[in-house]
Amino acid sequence: MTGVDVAFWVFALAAVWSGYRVFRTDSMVRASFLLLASFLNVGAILVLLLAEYLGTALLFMMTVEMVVMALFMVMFMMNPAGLNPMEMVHQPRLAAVAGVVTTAGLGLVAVVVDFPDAPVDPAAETIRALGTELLGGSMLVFESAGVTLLATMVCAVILSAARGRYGDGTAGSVAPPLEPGGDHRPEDDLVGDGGGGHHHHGGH
Amino acid sequence: MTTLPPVVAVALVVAVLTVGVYGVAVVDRLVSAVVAGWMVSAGEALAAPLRAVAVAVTRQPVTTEAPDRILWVLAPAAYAGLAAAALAVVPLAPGVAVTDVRTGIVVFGAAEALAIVAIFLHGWAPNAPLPLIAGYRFVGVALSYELLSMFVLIAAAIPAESMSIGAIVESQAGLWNVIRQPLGLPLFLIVAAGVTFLGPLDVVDSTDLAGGGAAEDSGMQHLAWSAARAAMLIAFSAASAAVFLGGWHGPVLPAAVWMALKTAGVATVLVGARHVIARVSPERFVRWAWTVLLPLAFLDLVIAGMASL
Amino acid sequence: MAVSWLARLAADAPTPVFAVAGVDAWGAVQELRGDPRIRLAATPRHAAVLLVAGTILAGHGEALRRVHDQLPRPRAVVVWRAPGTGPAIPALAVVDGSADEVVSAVGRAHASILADPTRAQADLLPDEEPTEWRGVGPFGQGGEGMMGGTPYGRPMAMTGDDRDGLALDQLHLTLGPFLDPLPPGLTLDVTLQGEVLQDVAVDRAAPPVVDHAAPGDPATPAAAARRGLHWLAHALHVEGLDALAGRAAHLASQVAVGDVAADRSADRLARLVTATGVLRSLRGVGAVDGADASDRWRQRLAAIVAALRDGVVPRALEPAPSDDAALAGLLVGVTLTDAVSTLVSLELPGVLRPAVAA
Repeated sequence: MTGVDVAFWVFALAAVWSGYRVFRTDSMVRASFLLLASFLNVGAILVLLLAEYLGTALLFMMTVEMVVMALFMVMFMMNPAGLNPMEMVHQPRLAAVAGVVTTAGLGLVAVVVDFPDAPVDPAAETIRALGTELLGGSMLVFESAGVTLLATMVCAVILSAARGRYGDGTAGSVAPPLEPGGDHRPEDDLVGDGGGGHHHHGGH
Repeated sequence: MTTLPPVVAVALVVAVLTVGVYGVAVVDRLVSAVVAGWMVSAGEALAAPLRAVAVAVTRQPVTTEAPDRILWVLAPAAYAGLAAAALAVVPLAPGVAVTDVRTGIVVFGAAEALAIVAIFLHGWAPNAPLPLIAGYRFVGVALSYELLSMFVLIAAAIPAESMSIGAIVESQAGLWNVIRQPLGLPLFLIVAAGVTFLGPLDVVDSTDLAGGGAAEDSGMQHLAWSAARAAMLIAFSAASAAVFLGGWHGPVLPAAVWMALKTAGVATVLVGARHVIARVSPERFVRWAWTVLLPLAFLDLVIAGMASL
Repeated sequence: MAVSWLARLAADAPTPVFAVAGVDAWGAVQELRGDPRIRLAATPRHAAVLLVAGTILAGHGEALRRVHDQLPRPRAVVVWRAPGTGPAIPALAVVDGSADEVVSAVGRAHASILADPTRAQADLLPDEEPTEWRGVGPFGQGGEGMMGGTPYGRPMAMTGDDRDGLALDQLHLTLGPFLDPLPPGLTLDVTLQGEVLQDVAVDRAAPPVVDHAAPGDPATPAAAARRGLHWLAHALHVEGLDALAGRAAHLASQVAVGDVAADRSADRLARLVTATGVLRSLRGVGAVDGADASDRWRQRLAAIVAALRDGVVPRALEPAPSDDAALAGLLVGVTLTDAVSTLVSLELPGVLRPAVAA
């Protein structure tokens, strides 16, 4: 067993263990960062497989993603910083069945399939090859997806902004009825007279 | 890609960070004495960090009602470890790097992003209001400059045609990046001030929150946190020197000396800025970062791209 | 002896002090920032010595004892210029003299607890939790299901509408009366959503008392300048400029002994303060009657310079909204940072009374 093998097992077990802990912990902040720990270990395994760029980029991307996720989850939920313990699983029975089936399926593939054994030459220019693939052969797909996502984000921000070029974003908005096909109740409106809206002046 | 034997590499990183942290403490003492108008002797400045350590060691740690103990203890260790990881990809002389990997700037960026997690968790772990507010505030501000760092580092990688920091230094043999890409260094220093939360960007352990993220730290815990912060400052100074100031290139003096001088110079500027620039308001800085700094980082990338055509 | 060697090394360091000051001694405490032998800490957790200065209101006794217990052990208390009417607190040293005497006493108290930790002062309050939470609720954490209760002893944050029409977490907390960045004797009950203050209740417990930090006729230019410099030292500290705060405080002590070089130093200090960009960064913050925090800083700086260079007794600064509701109205809807900057810049009746140029 070489050092790389030992490292692989350490990272693999750490990834599985922290992945398991995500569902056993009782706080959103801990769950987010345990998930991050799991991803970091997967990233380390990718580096061991000589996919250096993909591995380190995974570390980088997942870190920022999990920070944003934790921040938004806590912001929107009635749970002070995720400090109040809460059940982190929904539909546990269905999830358990799905988990077992998926693990069994993937395990079966891993055991049964005869994978090609083609070790990467450490001197191979894997990063250059990846760059050529993304910005050469698949550039059209890659770029159109990228620009579409960016445009979507900009539009979402514009649509959700409280103040736009046509005035107050909530002007004229009415609350949906509580039951399907029910009547609109003016007291549910966030804006307007008699609404539950809580307005403060000088918001900056 | 150069790699030192593991024992030498660990010793090198520990030595550079220890000397660096001590140096930062001494310079901080000297600059604050000059700004305050106090007389301070060289011996006194050199002894100041040791005395501060002694004060910390003689204090007993305090805990809060229901903290996350593991995270609270691990946060300074993680922050210092990330400083060491970031420093590991920065070559200190030709061929002398712990590991000058091909993805150097991506590793540096990942260490920087993970540092945000460490700082946030350090504020979250004590389960106390002021550190918590400071931790969340920091994340909000940090997300606004996280992209800057990646853009300026990618711009520096373009003329080098490599993401290895060693190759980026080599590419500056003729002309340093600070001249070739004038926007790069100032933007990178803003990121450095942000990730080490000092001076104008100290939105975490700030006095307006009575110590903020560190408000519940005492004794050794506070010392460890301050030392980790100084270590990160050294990692950023070394990276600034290598990526923008030509690294070891320079006349007469040996390569390693140039690198050390440039690193110390950047660190001194950052520590000095702490005492002479007022803290920015987090809300206004975030707006400024997205509307002014981010477009400037794009411009930096465009300049680098056009120059390499 | 390794331990005594460590103790001696620690005793040579600037003593970390957390100061709790009554309105009458607050200025004198700010002046201590100019002394390199001590370091005023922003939180009791960073301090070794608790300095209790001036008249502490009887109603603040509980808060004072809590601050005392927040200092890590070994700790010492030094009482300075106490009128004997406030809440009693056991002290290692009681000083009634000058700033120099109190700094020496603080240093001696620190050295004494380092040399013999048994001399350090024990907790004043029983070590018990303010809210009963252990073992309560479904997970024994004190919460009630997904909402309500006091999970881990902290009141549950519930969502509320924010200024952008989103429903986000709200945090309720009490700041003061001894929070380092706030003016003395001020207590704020706030509802925070992220950084934004949604609701503020102000409690100004402090009655107007004579400031014996500036003895003699407060109408003299020197007394006015000194009072302005005390304010400046604290305000610079809050804006993250501790070294400059040291310079301002040192200048205040020079004025106190009638140093003739003080007028030139005041000019230079005002230029240094302007160069930090603090005036620019406070622009638009906490506007009252058309003057924002930046304008108030500028007026106060001008007043200090005028008093020292031209010997002009400055006119009093326009006081802040006198009723608590109006003051709270000024803070609602702004970020916590801006709220603190606003409070620091204001002239709060019964809290501190510096002056500005005529």
